[in-house]
Amino acid sequence: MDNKQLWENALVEIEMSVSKANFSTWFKDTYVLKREEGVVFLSVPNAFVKTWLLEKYHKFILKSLRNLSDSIRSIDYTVAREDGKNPINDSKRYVSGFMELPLNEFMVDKENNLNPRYTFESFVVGPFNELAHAAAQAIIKKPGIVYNPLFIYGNTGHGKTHLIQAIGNHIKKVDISKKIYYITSERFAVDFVNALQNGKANQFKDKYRGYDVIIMDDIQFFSNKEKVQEELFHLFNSMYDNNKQIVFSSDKHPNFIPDLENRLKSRFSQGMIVDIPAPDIDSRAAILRRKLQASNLSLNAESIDFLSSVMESNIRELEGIVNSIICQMNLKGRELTINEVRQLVKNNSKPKKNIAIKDVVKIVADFYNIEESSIYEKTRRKEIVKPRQITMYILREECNVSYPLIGQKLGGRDHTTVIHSCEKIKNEIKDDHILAQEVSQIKTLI
Amino acid sequence: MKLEVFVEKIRSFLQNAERISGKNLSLPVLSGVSLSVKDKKLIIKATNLDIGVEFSLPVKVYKEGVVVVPASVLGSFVGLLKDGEKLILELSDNNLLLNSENSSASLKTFLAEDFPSIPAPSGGVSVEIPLPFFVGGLRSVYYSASVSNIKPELASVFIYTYETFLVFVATDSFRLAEKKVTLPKSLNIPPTLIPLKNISEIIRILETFPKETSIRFAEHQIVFEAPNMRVVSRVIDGAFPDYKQIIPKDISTKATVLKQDIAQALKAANVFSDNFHQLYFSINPKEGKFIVKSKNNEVGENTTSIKAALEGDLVDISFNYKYLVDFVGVVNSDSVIFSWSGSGKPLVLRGVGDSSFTYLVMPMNR
Repeated sequence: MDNKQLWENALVEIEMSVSKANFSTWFKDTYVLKREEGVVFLSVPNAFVKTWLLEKYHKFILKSLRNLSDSIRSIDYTVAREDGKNPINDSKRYVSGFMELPLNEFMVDKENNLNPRYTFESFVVGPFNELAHAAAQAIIKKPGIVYNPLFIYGNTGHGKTHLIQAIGNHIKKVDISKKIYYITSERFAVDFVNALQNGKANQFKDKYRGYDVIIMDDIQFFSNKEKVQEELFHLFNSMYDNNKQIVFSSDKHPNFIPDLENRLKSRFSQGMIVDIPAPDIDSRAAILRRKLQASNLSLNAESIDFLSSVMESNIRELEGIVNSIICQMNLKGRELTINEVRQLVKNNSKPKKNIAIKDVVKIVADFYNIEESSIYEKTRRKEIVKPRQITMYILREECNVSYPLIGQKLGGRDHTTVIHSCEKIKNEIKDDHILAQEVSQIKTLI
Repeated sequence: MKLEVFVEKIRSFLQNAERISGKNLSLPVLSGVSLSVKDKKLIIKATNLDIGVEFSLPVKVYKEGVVVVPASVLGSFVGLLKDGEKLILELSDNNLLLNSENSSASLKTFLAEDFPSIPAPSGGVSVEIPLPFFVGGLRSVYYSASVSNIKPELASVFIYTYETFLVFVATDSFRLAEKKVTLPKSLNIPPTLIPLKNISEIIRILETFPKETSIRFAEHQIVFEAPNMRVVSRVIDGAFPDYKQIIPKDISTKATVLKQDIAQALKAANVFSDNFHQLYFSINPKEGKFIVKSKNNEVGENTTSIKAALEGDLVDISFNYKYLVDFVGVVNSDSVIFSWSGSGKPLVLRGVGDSSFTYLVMPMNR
């Protein structure tokens, strides 16, 4: 009988013989910490409960436990630690709703906006991100000289922010005199607009030109903001001319950011543009282990394999799962079984998209600027075939529609045709960057 | 159980116990106060499982025994009796009869054996700290603690010793108050976090009690002990943030003003402040101007200029009224110093000639 079961059974007996109010007051939040040589270590929420259990219920508890297991000789009551300690998550909740700047959130350095949590030490390098990592390493050795600007793009949750903040943190660590500033594009835009409104445009310019390294996150949000783009352009030029490092991140290649001015695009390309694709399965397993290790916990190999194969693309979601696993482990005080892990994942994974086939066809057709009806036709013109195959691929991958149904809906084609098309696109995506970009853009439109 | 006592002797004890007794608990007996008579003494106990008190006082005993009655009812009834009246308490058929010269009452009782005992930890460090120092320290900072329980360590007052100082700190992460009390001799106590919700009760009880109270810092608990009293409070098992590093050291602008002037200006500004209680400070040392402004689109606006000794750079900044007024309420000096150290850094407030108290406020985002 394990500790949890033992205590549950004992509680059943105790509950029978004390009043409900007494039971819920004194036995709430109690659990068996461990059992050693006939001594049961019982965790209680506070000293008041400890005193009262010891004084009033001790014999009774001991009797109930002994009925279940003869080997138990005595009980030791331990006051549990106060819970509710998770400074990182809490701090965010804390700030929302208040206008004041929080005083002691040491997690973010006010000077440079960097979060000290993001370092190279905590960054897991795998085949999928080693190029980006190498570029970052080159930059921290010679900021402003080697790759300027560094442009990192990749889907959400692939570690862009971690990497670029690690660059900032590292440069800061090596040379404390360097002035580094991390900013999101949204914040930059707001700052700029505020400066214009208050007639402090010059102060704004001076502020940004004073930094040695500027790290700008999520610049895809600059699309459609012409004035801000212009300001960024000037800032960029002045930084570049003075050999000051600039690092950008975005979820797309600059050429695919809509409504981004060409002069900016070309400037982004003059440095180094690297992609962080989705992590491969080994890297996911490595990341998992690292996260668990950081909390001093371990998980059986089976569960790690399972998690790394299920949590396909997003490291952030992987982190979320790890957090809930850690929470469960702390609660239960033991390792989780594979089934419990499966259960957790089931609750956390997002449902597949539910969208009409017709709508997908329309989106793809619009994207490639062809007639919607031509997708359904039996034509083998090249400009039609590719969109049609992409439609099939997306229907299969994103919407989980069966092969025969896809064939039937797209002009009565055989399911083998559909299988071929899906395989073909799947393979081509790996080599053809432009195709991959197009597909991911279409996916975001759905 | 039967006893006789003068009303004024027992009243304050019962009222303190009433404040401690539990509310909204699943165990109704915790909303009661336990009265037990033994060895010519009456022992009064109350607890909400977070803080517990036990008082004892000599009474005229007719019969020993224990009774638990609703604390609020007993407290209210005794509160209405006049000083100098004699009160007889007697247990009869599960009812507590209260008889004074002019009035009488009968109270339903709880099952006395369900009432928990108040822990009496013996380990830890027991020290004698003059109570005015201790209560004064708590009073100087406790309003700054966080009212939210998300971070228990911030919903507490942090106490630690260093050299001959006993230091009290509290912060809700938007402002911070630190009070250093100089002790007659150096002490060594473990750093302790007392939960905010127990502090006002502790202050109230300690202020009504004699000075020879010793304080015991035990595991999970802090205990205030005197011959006729014991107050046991839970302490928070956590780490207070290393707050020293956020106290700015370089000062770029400094303003010295009369406390009365700034209090006046704050009050005026609050009349016109918006829903966020936002006040604007505009300080121009070159022109010798210290201006407090507030504006509410629905009400209007107001400007007060304060006489001040200024040095340093120009400052344009806004604050929450509530946080500043808290400082003005506790600082002892007649004039106060405002020091800034650049944007994004907290404002440091101190009384002139009083290095024992430091108060930090973060500016508001405009």
